[in-house]
Amino acid sequence: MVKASDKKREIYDFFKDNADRLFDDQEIVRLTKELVGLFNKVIRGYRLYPRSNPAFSRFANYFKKKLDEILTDIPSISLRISTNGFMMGNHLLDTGDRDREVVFFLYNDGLREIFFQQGTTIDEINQLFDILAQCTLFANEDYDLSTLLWDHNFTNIGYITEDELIKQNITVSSDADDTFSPFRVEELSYGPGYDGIGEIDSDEGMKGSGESISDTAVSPKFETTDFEKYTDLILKEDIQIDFNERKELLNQRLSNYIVGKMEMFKFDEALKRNSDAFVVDRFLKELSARLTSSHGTKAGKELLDTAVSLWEKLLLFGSVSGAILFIKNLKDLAVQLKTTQPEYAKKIEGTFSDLENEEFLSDFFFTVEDIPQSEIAVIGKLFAMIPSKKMAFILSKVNDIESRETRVAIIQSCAKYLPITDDLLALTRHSDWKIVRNAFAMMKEKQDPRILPAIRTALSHPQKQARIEALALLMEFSIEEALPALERAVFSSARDVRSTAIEKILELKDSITIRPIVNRLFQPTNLKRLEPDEIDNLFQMIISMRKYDLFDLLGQLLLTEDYDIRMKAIQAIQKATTMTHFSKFIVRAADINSLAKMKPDELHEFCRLLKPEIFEELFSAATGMLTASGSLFNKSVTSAKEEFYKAIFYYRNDPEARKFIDKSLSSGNKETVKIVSKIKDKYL
Amino acid sequence: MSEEIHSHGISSDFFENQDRIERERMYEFMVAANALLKSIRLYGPGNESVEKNTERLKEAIKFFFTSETFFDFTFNGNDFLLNDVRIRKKRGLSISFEEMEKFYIELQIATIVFQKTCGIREIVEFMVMGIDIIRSNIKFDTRFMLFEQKLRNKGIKIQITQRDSSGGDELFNILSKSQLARLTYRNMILDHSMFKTKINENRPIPLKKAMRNIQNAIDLICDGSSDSQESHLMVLASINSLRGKMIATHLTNTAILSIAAGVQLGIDRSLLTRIGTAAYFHDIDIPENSRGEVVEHCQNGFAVLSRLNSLNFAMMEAAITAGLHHTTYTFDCKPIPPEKPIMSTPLGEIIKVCDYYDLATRWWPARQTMPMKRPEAIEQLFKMADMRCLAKVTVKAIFSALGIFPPGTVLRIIGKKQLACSLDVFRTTGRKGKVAILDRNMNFVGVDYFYPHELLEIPKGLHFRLPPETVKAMLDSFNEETSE
Repeated sequence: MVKASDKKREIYDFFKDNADRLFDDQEIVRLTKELVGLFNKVIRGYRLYPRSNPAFSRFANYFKKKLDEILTDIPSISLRISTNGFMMGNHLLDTGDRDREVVFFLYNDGLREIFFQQGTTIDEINQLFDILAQCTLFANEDYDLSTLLWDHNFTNIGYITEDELIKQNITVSSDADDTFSPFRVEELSYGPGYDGIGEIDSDEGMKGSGESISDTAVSPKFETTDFEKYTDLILKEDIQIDFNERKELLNQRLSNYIVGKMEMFKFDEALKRNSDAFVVDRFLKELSARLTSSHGTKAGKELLDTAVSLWEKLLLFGSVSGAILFIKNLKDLAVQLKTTQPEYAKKIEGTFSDLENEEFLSDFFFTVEDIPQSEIAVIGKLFAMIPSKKMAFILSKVNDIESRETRVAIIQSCAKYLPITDDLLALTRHSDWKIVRNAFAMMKEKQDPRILPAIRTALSHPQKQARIEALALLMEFSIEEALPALERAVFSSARDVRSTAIEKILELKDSITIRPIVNRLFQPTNLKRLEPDEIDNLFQMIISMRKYDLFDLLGQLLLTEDYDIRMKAIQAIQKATTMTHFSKFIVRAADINSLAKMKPDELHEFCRLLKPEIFEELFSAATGMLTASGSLFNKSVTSAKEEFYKAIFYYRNDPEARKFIDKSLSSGNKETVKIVSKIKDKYL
Repeated sequence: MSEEIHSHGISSDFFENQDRIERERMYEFMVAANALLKSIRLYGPGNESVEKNTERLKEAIKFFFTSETFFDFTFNGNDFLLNDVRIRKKRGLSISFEEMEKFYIELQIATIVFQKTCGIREIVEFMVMGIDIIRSNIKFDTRFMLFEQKLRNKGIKIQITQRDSSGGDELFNILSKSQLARLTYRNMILDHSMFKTKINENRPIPLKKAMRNIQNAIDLICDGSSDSQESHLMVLASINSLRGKMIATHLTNTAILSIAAGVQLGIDRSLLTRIGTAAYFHDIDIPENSRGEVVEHCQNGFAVLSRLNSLNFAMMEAAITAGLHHTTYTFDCKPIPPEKPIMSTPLGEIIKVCDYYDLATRWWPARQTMPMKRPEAIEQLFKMADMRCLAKVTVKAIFSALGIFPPGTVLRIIGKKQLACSLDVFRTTGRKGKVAILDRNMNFVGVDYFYPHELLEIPKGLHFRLPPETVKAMLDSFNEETSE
């Protein structure tokens, strides 16, 4: 298997030898320039947009595409990073000034060459982009591009750092040894003290050197010529040893004391048990213990300085849980010291002043979209430590977050960890409805009786969105409580409020409760107050939600005097899967006198409601249809009858329909016979 | 202003929020400098906007000269730093530092050093001069020199340093593994004084520099190929010390030993970096000139390491280790058996063992006892584990890493009446290991290979400290090996 370091050397040598040839290939040079241009775009982009921005995944795809094109004919592409720009071997890639900034950045982080091999995956590119983001966005004292690239150990992306290179001319010079010698002879520690050979007193010898305080190295004035004296001491003894026996002995020693698989496994388990959180916890415990015991000393002052800045740093670099742990610890410590060392305790308390500093909190919110989900999940714990009077500010900042996912995650975390306070309740009266919404969202999971009055108050909030939110929430809390408000909302002058209220009402299963409200709403005078499409939506909802208990109220509207409402009711009922529930009203509306009063379009639409499932009931009541006749000057009865029979004839194979047609033909009414015969002739 | 405020003087908040105020001032300085640069570029000196921004910068810069006579203003390609402290950018805000970034990039500047004696007019002149050079058609790579020359000619006291140069078209070679091993080791020792200086100046330490060395060491140890540098590094980690660099050598050796022991326990790469870095810093607070310092350094060590980059897990491990590693043994390597086992962290336990080994096997001016021989130190470690001073598994790990005759052990070659020094890790009896052959005067004679059962420890009571020439020759043998 080729080792990573050997692969690195191979690629380095390949490009050293072939760069001239590759640079002659204009297509590769063009594509490579485009590739390096993307580096710049990505780094600039991270300064402006959160990592979740879809542009970055587009960049990654584009990067992969370019890379695949370049790597069609060559196994790898290596970009040398010089202060003048990106290079292919010894040739500068002329990219104008576009790459100066990124080159500065990469060069400064110690990177001198970066290469990509055939087989580089989109996942690797995305990870590379993540590293670039990390270096661009967060602290750079602790890591840089090279250290992070090393950590990721990519299979197909490699790099060479400044530490690994040497100017070509040095390697051939005689200085090479000195350059790479770990030290020169004169640098070695060989000064006064216990130079040369050490020897212990013979009576101490049995204890083993170094174990006794009286052990001293003898011969401080040791001369190098004395070496011989001592080596002779060792070598004078002629030792006869059986190699096999000694080998056996050493094997025994090795097998007894070398790390075995089980020990590796156990250590791995120990590492898992003592995860990162354990290390943080252990560190903070030590810090707390030492803070308590070392105040007043130099170390104590140093520790307090650390304490002041540590939790802030943790927070701004994305470790919410670390910051929480630390703040808690310090707070506990302050409580412990309150009586014995009030000044010290006060000083510790003072370190939390930034928790209410709006500018600091704003800084934190700038980074919040880059914080991992696992850390976002505990953000509520942190907000719980912030004085509740700052909640309005926090909620307005939450509203400013671009990513909906992050907003929701934060609110969910707050809902989990934040207690209900008077300040939070007061926010339900805030002038910004979004803050009201978030405040409710944070409280709703907690079945706390204090929320109800807040919701009731919010029902009359000047902004309708707040009223809607309150309404929806109220429904979750108590239907009985919500109903009066909901009923009022149904008749609100704001359409959004009305629509939401109606929707919520219809979602309720208890029809006994909602029926009076719907009944009231279906009064023509009330319906007339709604916008036309709103009425359509309302009727449609009743049909599509299969609110059978309310069908009769809708059917009733077939008999109303108002043409528009009637028409809308007809059109809604047409969409019902069966007319059975509406039969009583259809039959009544199908009376010839009623039909005769209908306008042609209404008549046409209404007759589409005449379906076999109601024929039995319909025909038994339709005696007027057989006997009534139109007059010379009023053809409305005739037209109504014609439309009626056409609708029936459509179902002529139905036994009831057939029976009725036959009955009509033998009714003796000339007009009826004529109409039926005419239709029969036409369709049969 | 009310009398009440007058009577209280400065609010106590000022002291509570020093860091924060400093950050704000830094940001304000940055914004003002950027705005001034932009207005000079757009309108030229003398314009009303330039004057306004000049006044703003004059106010902002005052803060930095309250306690210092100069300050560094650096651009590292990504961030601006004032006296090594990063100025945080605020993403999404309309204010960007592009103008200043361009100034640095176009003029190839790494750092600008402002002196207290520089007047604001001098700063304006400095900016005007820089912008003129950027506007001219002067070749990119000669701009810095020209700018520097002009500043000198004009007698402007603002100093500039050039960012590292890649040397134009100069070609580079990639280092051989043995060269890299030596350079890494040397860097680790020499960087120590730089870290100490930063600590003393209360500035952030460039942890990444240490990490890069540690990562190189990990690669070289874990390589697994025939020219692995494991033995080379282990021999390096067994040298006594560089003159005047006792602590630096101790930290470097402990770091390398900890990595090697960690590898034997199969821990993954990221944790190897952590253990190496933590070991490298665990005794950072001990002054080089200290003589006879003992357990007390733990308290200060923890405090210092807590302050330094403590967001980093490696630094937390380092702090914990610094604070706890001498709870079960003294600087004289005497055990302090605990009543019940005390564990710092699993990684911290590995560092403790390596710290003990290096402590025990080296010549310390401050210690009145002679060092233990290396195999003897390993035996002592096992005894310490039985006394619950150390974790047995970590002792096994260091034994696995160092083998029967740890590198640096003076040995006798059986049947040859000749001395040798182990230059390899003798982990199995089935493979010959490398030794340096020594003459009777401890001079390096050459390199040879032996099975472990062909070698024998020298008698108890004798302990050789090899002459520097011999040590150097032994190490050079690794370089020759690669050259061949």
